[in-house]
Amino acid sequence: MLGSNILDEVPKLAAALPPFPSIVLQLLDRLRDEDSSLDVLVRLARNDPVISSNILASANHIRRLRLQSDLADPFAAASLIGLNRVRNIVVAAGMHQFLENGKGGAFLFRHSQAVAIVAQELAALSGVSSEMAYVAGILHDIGQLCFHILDEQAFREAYESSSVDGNLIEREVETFGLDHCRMGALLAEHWELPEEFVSVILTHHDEMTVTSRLQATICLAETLARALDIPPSPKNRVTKINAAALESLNLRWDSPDMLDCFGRCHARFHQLCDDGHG
Amino acid sequence: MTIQENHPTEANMEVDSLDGELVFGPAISAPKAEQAQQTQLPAPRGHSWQATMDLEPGMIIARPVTGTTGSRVTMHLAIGSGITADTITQLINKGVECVAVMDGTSLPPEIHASNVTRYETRLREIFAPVPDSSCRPLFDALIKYGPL
Repeated sequence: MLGSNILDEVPKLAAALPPFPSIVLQLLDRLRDEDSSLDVLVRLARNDPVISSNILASANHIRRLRLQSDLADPFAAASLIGLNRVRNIVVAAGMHQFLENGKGGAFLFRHSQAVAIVAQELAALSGVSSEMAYVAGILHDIGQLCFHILDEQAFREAYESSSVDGNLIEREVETFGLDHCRMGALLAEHWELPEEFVSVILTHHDEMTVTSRLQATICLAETLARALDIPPSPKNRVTKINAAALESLNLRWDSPDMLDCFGRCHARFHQLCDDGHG
Repeated sequence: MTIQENHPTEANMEVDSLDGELVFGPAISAPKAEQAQQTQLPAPRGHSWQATMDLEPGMIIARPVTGTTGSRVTMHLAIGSGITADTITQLINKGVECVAVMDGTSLPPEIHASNVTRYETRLREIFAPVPDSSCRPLFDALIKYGPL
């Protein structure tokens, strides 16, 4: 159980976590800038060997389909695959290094990627920024990583017992004194993430309220990822849906676009897994 | 080509959520016959969604595709268009993440029926014990959509 004044403990907890990837912070700074160019993004990314090699791998996949030789220049590779894909690679690879801390972290990252993909697809249907939705999806469960590192056994027990009734939030409060939404929001504030993301992290499990269209998107993405069983887990449960979120995004589960969205989310997630990024 | 053919082991695949290890366990328990009777068997869709990075030259577009540069539409592929290596490059470059392609072959009816019952059984587990009223529309839509 954390102390009564959790705010005092946040810097210590943050220090116990891996450093938040600076490249993701820089990307977040530029995310709202429509004019943010591919060139600027690749300049940020090229010093990270994992990100650079992911950009090259994506581009060379295309080159090989066209029987062309592989590229070694990340700028040329990035121009081939385009800004959106480079952004996704930067966030996914940056956060992968951060989140994949031990076995629980690996699952957490897969779940975060699934929610990010679903959020991006829902955003495309509802006019929310798909880039913001993707990043928010990757970040939304950051508080769980903290619990996992703080006391893996205790978090595992809370998680396991919640699989029966879906009451993870209550179990976390009993075990740690606060839930992963509050914990994640405190960490996000400590890392000085943009306010929109802090708010989404804090409220992504709200079942009744909508604080923003981005939050509504992440609420529904969390639900839909579990309903679609991505990543597959016997603990995936859907017990309640935030109807206000659905209404605020003007979405219907039975619309033709939504039905296609199910197939798209599934295909994209499994492509990531086949690619070794999931 | 179908999603089912691409991921033939998925129905038997479970993830121990905190281990992050894929576990190939026993198949999901056999569904009760009455559960399978509750819904009409959805017809095979005849197409499957493929991530753009998984596309191969020769596939046929099953849903119109629109690619944009900024706010301008700069690419449109109609149903029935063939996919080439150049098409794949353009799709990726324009940020198109996913495309519906025609299935090359159709599943035998008994395999399709088996996939449907296994899929519906898994959905009932996820929405157990019974779908809450707020969840019912999503549950019904997923049933209507059929196996992913």
